[in-house]
Amino acid sequence: MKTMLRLSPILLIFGLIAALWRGLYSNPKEIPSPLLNKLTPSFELPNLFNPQENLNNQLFKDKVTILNVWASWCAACVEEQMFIRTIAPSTSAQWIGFNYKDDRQNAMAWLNRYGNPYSAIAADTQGVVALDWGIYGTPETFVIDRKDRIRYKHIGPITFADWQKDFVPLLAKLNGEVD
Amino acid sequence: MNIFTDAHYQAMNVFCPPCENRGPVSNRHWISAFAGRTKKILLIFLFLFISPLSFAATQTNPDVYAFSTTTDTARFNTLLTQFRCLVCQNENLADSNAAIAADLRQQIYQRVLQGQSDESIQKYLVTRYGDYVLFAPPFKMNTTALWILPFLLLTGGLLSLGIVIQRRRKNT
Repeated sequence: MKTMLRLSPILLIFGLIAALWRGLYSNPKEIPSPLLNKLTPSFELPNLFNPQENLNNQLFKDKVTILNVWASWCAACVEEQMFIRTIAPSTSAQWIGFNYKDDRQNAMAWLNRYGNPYSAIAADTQGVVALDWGIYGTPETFVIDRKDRIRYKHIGPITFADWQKDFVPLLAKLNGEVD
Repeated sequence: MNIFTDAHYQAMNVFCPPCENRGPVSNRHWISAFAGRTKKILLIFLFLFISPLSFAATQTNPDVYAFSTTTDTARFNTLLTQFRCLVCQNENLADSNAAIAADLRQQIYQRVLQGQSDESIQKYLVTRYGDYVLFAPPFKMNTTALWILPFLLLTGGLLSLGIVIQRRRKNT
């Protein structure tokens, strides 16, 4: 008991070091989403290419989806688009674009220039729907399962390392899940 | 004697962050009342203190939020200080110039106008952005250490202090 008491300050300091050490490697810019494992927030947004048509949560029905938030004014999105373009054709999920606070003409010109890997793009010109999704910047990426639940959120551009580590195993798992 | 040429003024402009009120050339007329070294010192002070101030004044909260009652105004202003901006994370929603903060201010404004309670507005933000937006985190499983540890350390410290004092008394 006595030795335990004597050792307690040292143990305390080690505990503190461990906690601070961990803090060194955490990224405070990445805010964990409270929407994980919940149904996607319902939305109704115009199709970027055809503003008369509205897109909604039906997009995610019975499909594994990667929802990528981007904007033509976003510099990091260009870099990310270069990567997405190379992997999108062989991805075992549909890519849906979420055009955030953008001008329609600029957005379409941007896609012409950097490629369009998306099977559909919802345009959130005002950025109001984005608030329901907890979006606070670009790029951000959501992975949505067949039952319309958000399973993963990635903040910042997807790199090859992120893709290998976080997306590939998850997509394999989601594709293997039976309804 | 004026040691500053227009090129100097131009160069000084560079140090001013991208702000609306770029000072020197237009402000020169009221400094020219002073001559020589005084002017130089004044100019330095001007750039050190006035530019950032005018920068802050022109950039913060450009939107106007009008309420019909002062209670609502007060409620709105208090609410803004309770939530963290997601981009500039040390700033609250009242201080932040980030676009997302402006969007959230607008949402809170609409909700206060609709007469929603503080709790429901807080819930609106927390369901979307998590406890992270709160400056005062709630007591939960993952925040127990945060809330309990200070008290634990305090009682532990007092206890060991008591033991030490007791021992000393016995010895003397």
